[in-house]
Amino acid sequence: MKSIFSVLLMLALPAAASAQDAQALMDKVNNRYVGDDALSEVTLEYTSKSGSSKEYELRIWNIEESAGNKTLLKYTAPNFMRGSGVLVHGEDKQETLQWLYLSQAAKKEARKISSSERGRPLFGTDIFYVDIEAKATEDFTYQQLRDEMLDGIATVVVQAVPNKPDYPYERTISWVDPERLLELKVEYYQDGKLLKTLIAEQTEQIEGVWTVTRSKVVSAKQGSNTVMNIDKIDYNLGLQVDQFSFKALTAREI
Amino acid sequence: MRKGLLALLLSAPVLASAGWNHTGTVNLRMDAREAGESALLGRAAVEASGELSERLSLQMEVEGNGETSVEGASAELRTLLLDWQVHDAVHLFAGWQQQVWGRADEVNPLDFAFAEDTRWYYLEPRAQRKLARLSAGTRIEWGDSSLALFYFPESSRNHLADADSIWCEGTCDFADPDFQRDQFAALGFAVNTSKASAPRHEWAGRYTSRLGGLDFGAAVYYGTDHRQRVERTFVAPGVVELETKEYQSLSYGVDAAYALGDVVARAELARYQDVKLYIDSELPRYLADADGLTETDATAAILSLDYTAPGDIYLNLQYQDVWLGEPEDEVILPRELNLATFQIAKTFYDPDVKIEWTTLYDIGKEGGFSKLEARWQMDMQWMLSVGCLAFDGEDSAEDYGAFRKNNSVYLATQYQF
Repeated sequence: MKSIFSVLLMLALPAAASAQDAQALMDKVNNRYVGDDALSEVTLEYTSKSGSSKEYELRIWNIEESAGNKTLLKYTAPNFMRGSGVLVHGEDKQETLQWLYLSQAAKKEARKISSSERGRPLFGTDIFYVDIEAKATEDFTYQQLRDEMLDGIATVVVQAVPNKPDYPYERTISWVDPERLLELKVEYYQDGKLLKTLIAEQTEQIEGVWTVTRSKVVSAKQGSNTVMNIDKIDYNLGLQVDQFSFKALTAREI
Repeated sequence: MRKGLLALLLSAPVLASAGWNHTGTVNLRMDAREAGESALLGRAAVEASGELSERLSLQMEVEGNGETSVEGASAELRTLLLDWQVHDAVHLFAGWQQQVWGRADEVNPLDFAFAEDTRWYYLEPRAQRKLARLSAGTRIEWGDSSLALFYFPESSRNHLADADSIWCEGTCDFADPDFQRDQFAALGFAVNTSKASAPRHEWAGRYTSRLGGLDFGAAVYYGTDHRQRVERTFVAPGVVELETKEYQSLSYGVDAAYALGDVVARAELARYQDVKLYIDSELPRYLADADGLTETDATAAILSLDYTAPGDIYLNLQYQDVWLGEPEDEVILPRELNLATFQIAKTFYDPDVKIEWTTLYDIGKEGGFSKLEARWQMDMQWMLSVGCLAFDGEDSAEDYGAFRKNNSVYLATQYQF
C-alpha cells in the first residue's frame, strides 16, 4: 500500500510542480510591463472563407491601474463605423465590464455587454470582445504541457482552463516565450474542438516594451482569418483615467 | 422641407472641405402588401460632423425619403447642431437634434422629449423615426456621468401619416383631425377645423451615470405631449368645431442597466402627469362628453432582459405595464401599453447573415405584430434584406388587427458610405 502511495506521490509531484511553474510563468506574462499607458493605431483586415475582405482602422487606448486595466477602442474607418467603439473596465480585477457604442444608431448612449456576449465576434471579425480584456492570473488554472521550439524560438506550452463558467473559451493553449514573456501562439478551444488560433507574426521592442505588431487569428470553425497590424504605438503618454469614460466612448470626434 | 434644403445647401461646402467626416446611407425597399398594393419606399441620409475650431464643432444630418403610393417625397433635417466646449467638462449647444432616451429596445417609457414620425411605425427602428427639435442647452460631463439640460423654444408633435395612405387608412391615431373630420362628416355634421398652437417654453433634463456595475439615469420633461389632441365643441346644432390642441404636461422617470452574469437587465420607470386621453371611441358616448377628452396621470414601467446563447443567438424579452390614474371615463388607450416583446436573432459569419424575429404582443388589446427578417451584409457597403411583417388582433381603430392590410413581404437594399 505504501509503495503504491509513493508511486502516486511521485507521479503527482511533477504535475503539481508544472502547475506551479505554469502559474508563475503566466502571472509574469499577464502582469509584464507594457507601459503605464499606451495609444495604438491599428488596422484590422478580415477575410472570410470565400475570400471577401473587410478592413477597419481603429485606435486603442490602454491604461494600467491598480484598480484594474482600462481599454478604449474606437473605430476611425470606414466612415460609417467612425466613432463606434468598445469600453472595457477591469474593476478591482474581480469583474470586467464592457460597453458598446454604435455611432450610426441615433440612440447615443453606451450599451452594456453581458458576459456571454463577450464570446461574440467584435464587429464581424475573428476577434471576440473578450480578447480585448486583460487577463487576471487567478481566473485560470494553468498547466505546463511541454517545451517546444516554435519558428526557432524556445517556448513553453501552457494550457489555461478558466475558473469562471461564463468564460467564452473552454480552454486555451499558449506557446509562451519565457524570455520576452510573449504569447507567440494561442489555440482557443470550445466544445472540445479547436475554435481559432492566434499567431504573433511580428514582434518589435518599442520604447523598451516587447510588442506584437502583427498578429493573425485563423478561425478553424469559420475558415476566416483576421490580421491585426499595429501601425503605430506610443507608450507612457500620461493618459488619465477619466479619458476612459462614457464621454470618451460616445464622443463623435476621435 | 425648408430646413432640409438649408441643411443640404450647408452640407455641400462642408463635405468638400478637408477635416470633415461624413457618412451616409441609401435605402430602397419594395413592399408587397396583403391589401394587394405594392409600394416602393426610398430613404437617403447624409451625416457630417467636423470641428470649426478647437472647441467648436458642428453636426448635421439630412434625410430625404419618399413612398410611391401616397406620402410622396420629402426632405427632413435630422441634425444641425453647434456644440461649443466652453470648459473641459462643459458644453453649450444650440440647433436641431433628435435623441432617444431610455435603455429598453424600441419601447421606451422614458423617451418623452422628442417627437417621432409615426409613418415609419414598425418599419424603422425607433431611433430612425425621431424628429429633430430646435433646442439650446448645456451638457456637463464628469467621469462616467453626464447631465444635459435642454430648452425648447417651440413645441413639437408627432408626424402623422396621411389618413388616406395605404399604411394608415382608418387606423391612424384618433388625434388626426382629418380622421375625426371624416367621422363627423359621415354623421352629417358641418365641420370647422382650427389649430391652436401658442409659442411654448419647454425644457428637459437627462442625467446618466454609473456606480460599479450599475448604469443608471434619470430624465424629466415639461412640454408638449407629442400626441396632439383634437378638442371638439358643438357650436350649433349640426355644427362641430374641431380644434387641434397641444397640451403640456410634466413627465419624469429613471432607468438602469445591470449585468447579471450572462444576462443584462434593463429597466425604465416613467410618470406622466395630466395626460389627455380620448374617451371611449363609441360615438354615442363620445358625443355625450363635453370635449371628448379626459385628463389623467399615468405610470409606465418596462423590464428588459438580454441573453446571448451559445452559437451567437441573441434573445431579448421585455414586459411593459402601464397604470392609469382614475380617468372619469373609459378611455382610448394609445398603442404600446401593457405589452410583451420577444426578439431572437441568429448571426452567421460567412456569409455575413443575420436572421431576426421580433414579436410585440399587446396584452390589453390581445393583438400585436411579428416581423421576420434576414439581412445579408454583402460587403462593407451593400446590404440586402428580405422579410415579412404580420399584424393580428381586433379590427377597430387603434387595434393591431386594423393594420392587417399592411401585412407584407419586402425586399430591401442598403448602400452605406
